[in-house]
Amino acid sequence: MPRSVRDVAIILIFIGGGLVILFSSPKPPESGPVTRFIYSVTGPAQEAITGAFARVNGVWQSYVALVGIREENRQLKEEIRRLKHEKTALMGEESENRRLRKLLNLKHRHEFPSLVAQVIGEDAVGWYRTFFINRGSDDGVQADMAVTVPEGLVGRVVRSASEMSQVLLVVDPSFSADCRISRTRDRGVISGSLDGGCVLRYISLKSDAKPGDTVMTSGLDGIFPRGLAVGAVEAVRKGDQGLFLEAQVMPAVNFREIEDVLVMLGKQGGFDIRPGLEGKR
Amino acid sequence: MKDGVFIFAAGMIVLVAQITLFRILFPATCKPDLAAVLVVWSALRLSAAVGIMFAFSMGLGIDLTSGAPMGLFSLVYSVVFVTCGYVNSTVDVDTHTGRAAAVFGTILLAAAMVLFMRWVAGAVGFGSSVAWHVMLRSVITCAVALFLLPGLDRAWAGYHRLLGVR
Repeated sequence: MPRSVRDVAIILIFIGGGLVILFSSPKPPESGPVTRFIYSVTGPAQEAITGAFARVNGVWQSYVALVGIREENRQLKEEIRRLKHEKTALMGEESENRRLRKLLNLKHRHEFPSLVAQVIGEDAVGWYRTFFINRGSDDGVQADMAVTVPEGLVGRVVRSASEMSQVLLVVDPSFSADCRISRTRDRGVISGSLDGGCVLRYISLKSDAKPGDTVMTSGLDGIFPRGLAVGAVEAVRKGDQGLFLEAQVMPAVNFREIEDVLVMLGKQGGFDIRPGLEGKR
Repeated sequence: MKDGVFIFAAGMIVLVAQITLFRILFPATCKPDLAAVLVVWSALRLSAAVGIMFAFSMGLGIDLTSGAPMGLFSLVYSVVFVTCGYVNSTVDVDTHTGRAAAVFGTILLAAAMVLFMRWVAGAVGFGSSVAWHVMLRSVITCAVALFLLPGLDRAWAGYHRLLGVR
């Protein structure tokens, strides 16, 4: 067979084969025998190659690409730490803002000058209930000035240096202030108790004081303004000599949580600072 | 003089810690009295002249930074210093037990004096929990002293090495 005829025959065979395959193939959803044969031959090979590629990719992602992720992780952790720090600072500022706002409200209710001070230390040995504030005689703070917070009476200044002062708390037995039970209007003298809390002494035997009654300063001692909350009566009993009643009083102030206080710079007593009266001035 | 510098510096640190740091760490009713521990230590280690000066000054510092009447803790710490020094000269107090007993006795004496002064000042309801608080404070101070006293000894030895004091 001449060479040219053989080449043409080969070409025709392939073209004819192509046409046979083309026209013998079923419509697209169905697969013909040739397709099935090709698939059956190439399928396992594809699976093997794809699986191998996936494994290589997994190894890359799990180990090699982690170098960048580690760095990113470090940065994210850093950012989380920074954000947490900022959040804590903001919460602290918000809390301080709230406390100062309450003190400011209390300050506006007073008819005499007052000064905001921060608590900077506590009694050195703990046998006495005192603390230190960061305002002293340079700011006009003197002994026997009343110290309050929005919740009620804290105590009075006992010593004053140029830049700090010592405050004796209501719960110290050395403290005393003239008070009234707000419901019955009975008077008594409040002082601290070694058991913790306060005791209202020298209440009239005729008094109808009951647990839950509010105790407030009377303003008659010349140191504390009238109407400052001191605490609530917990129990009433007869005094040791039987001449007066005594009431166990739970202080209105949580002394462990105090951070800022208001020092009343005037020593005048008898001012009424009950809520609602500020508008009548 | 050099001993005085050491003990007065230690006293200042203790005083500041008691006023500021201990406010956060301990409730007021069971705050340990490190000043008393320092006085006991000075009675066991220092000369009488420096020690009594320190005890009195430390007491004065406590008087100024607590609600105590002026002179109360000066007296208490001076008495503690003299007593500890005297007892140590006759019996060996410088053991764990002896030191703990000395600190315990100091706190009891301080409590007795504080309560006595309160009682003298006016009507005070002592209440049942006072004894409990006194005991608790004494025990806590003793526990702290078991760590503080060896620490002071080490600091004292280091200070001597640093200055070449014999």
